[in-house]
Amino acid sequence: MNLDEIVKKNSQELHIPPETYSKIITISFPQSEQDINELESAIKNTDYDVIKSMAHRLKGVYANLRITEISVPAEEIDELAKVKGDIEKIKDFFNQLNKKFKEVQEMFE
Amino acid sequence: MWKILIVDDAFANRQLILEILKEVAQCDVASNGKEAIEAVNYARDKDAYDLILLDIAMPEVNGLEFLHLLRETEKNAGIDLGEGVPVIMVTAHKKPFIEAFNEGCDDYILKPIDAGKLIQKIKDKLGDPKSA
Repeated sequence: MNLDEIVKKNSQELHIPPETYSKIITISFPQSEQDINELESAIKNTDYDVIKSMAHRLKGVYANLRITEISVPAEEIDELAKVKGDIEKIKDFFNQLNKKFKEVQEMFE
Repeated sequence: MWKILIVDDAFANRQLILEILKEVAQCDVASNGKEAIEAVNYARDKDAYDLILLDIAMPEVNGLEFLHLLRETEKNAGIDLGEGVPVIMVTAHKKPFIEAFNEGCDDYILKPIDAGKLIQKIKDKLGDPKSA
């Protein structure tokens, strides 16, 4: 799907105008960037509490915005962090999330 | 219109709910439980909230701590449990927090938010919004 199709589909699901959807997603990027940076540092330090908290927030935001390519890896990280799971798996999911976030950010900016 | 307080630490979530409710509610926002309790206290004597939409996982004062403080304040003011301002938990957890219901939460909705369901849940608590 191209950007217009994504915006149209997601804004319809949310019952909001397409331009409002695009505005919300664009102005949300700074907080998400900060969360992703904190998540990356927490993974380096194996700080499961911070990993869980950042992944949980990203999961909620991108689930609401219907960007599942970001919310799904965030959810995997959240679940792994809850049980202090394999940090290598967490890194893999983080790389997926980060790559997709950059793609989405490029599309909208 | 309903008067609603939206409490969520994520900017995008607050903005989305504001947009979804803009035709039916006058909304204020708070980004954690500390700001929320300040907002509730400030509004109480002037124009109290009809309902609170509450995220659970938040920094500083989280949703559960906020609920505890809110219901304690209401209890001290002579308001019985179940008679205070309705609170609907808005959560990305797979299941609602049992602890939140123990603290006096009235209902829940899971993220991703469904706009229709959200408005219906509010309507179930408050009835139709009054004209502005």
